[in-house]
Amino acid sequence: MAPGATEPGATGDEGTVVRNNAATRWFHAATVAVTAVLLATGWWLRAGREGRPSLIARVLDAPDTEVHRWAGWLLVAVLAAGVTLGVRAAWTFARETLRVDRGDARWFLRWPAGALTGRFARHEGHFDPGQRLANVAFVGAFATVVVSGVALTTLSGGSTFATMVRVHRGATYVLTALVVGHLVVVSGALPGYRGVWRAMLGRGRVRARTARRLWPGNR
Amino acid sequence: MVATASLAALALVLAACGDDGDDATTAGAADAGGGGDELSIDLVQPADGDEVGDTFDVEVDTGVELGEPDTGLHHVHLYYDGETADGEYDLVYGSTFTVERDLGAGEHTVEAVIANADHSLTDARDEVTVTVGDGAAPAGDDTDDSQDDSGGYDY
Repeated sequence: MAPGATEPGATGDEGTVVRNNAATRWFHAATVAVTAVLLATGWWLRAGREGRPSLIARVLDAPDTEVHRWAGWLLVAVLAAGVTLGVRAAWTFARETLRVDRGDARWFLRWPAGALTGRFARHEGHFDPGQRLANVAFVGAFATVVVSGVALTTLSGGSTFATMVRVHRGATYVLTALVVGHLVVVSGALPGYRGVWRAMLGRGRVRARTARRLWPGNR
Repeated sequence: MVATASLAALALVLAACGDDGDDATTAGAADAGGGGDELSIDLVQPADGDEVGDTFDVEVDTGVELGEPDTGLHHVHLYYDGETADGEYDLVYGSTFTVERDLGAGEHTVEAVIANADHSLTDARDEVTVTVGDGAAPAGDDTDDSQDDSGGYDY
């Protein structure tokens, strides 16, 4: 652990807080990398470009359909590893995502102003109420694309295949919208979220005042 | 919890759709989902030995209905010059297709293969050899009455 940083949620000597530990950050990085390949090849195929290899397909010397299929299995492996090797973190994630506290509604009401000014309403827990909703949506979208994707690998055609394609696409649209929203937030385009990207990149440390602004009740 | 609910919902969808009894599993890709054993394809146009233009029409005759992957139906992959492994091919969702690839002047092979909806290939395939000329009229062009679809040129 870097000098000045302490356990997740604690303030270090340099006024920073380790928001996420290394294992969480690696899990996030692996998920991002594999999901990026899946979205890139998936949208390439959706755009009717099958048969015209994408840059990723050329680099890997395999058709986009095969790259997409193997990346899908890799995502299954990453997610499976996350919930087994990181079972304690997964449990914490679930518990903190599903919590409901008094004042959450007020947080949502003040969110637009908070996103622009940084003056969010207070909330309790590791995630703010907006993150909790996003977490639920992300888990639902990932679960749907994974289950429908696995189903597609067991079928070669027919009506169930056609249904799974539609389910897979629908979930992909939702997942893409969530990823875009996530990127907007972490990019700092909204002033209230400036500096938040440091929570998951690099050493996972954010400034203490950023942490207090976004997660005032996190202990 | 969300994941469990999602899995349960999809299981229900799978179970409901499975009642149709017309789905093909990957294990039996060539044998199900449209009568794999009877699958056959005939490249009607261009004929073997035809001279074609930079762009040319392809007509295939298959024993099954074709459609895009989200229909669950078969479709056809067109491969050129035997390159079936590099991901470069055209997709045919109906009986006709216009090839617009720059194959270059000279002799080329065109192979049509029936693919399952998941893009796995069946054994049903047909191949012809064509010669792409410089500025030649596309094969099957009605303006060229001296050349019918079945004859073409013999080399």
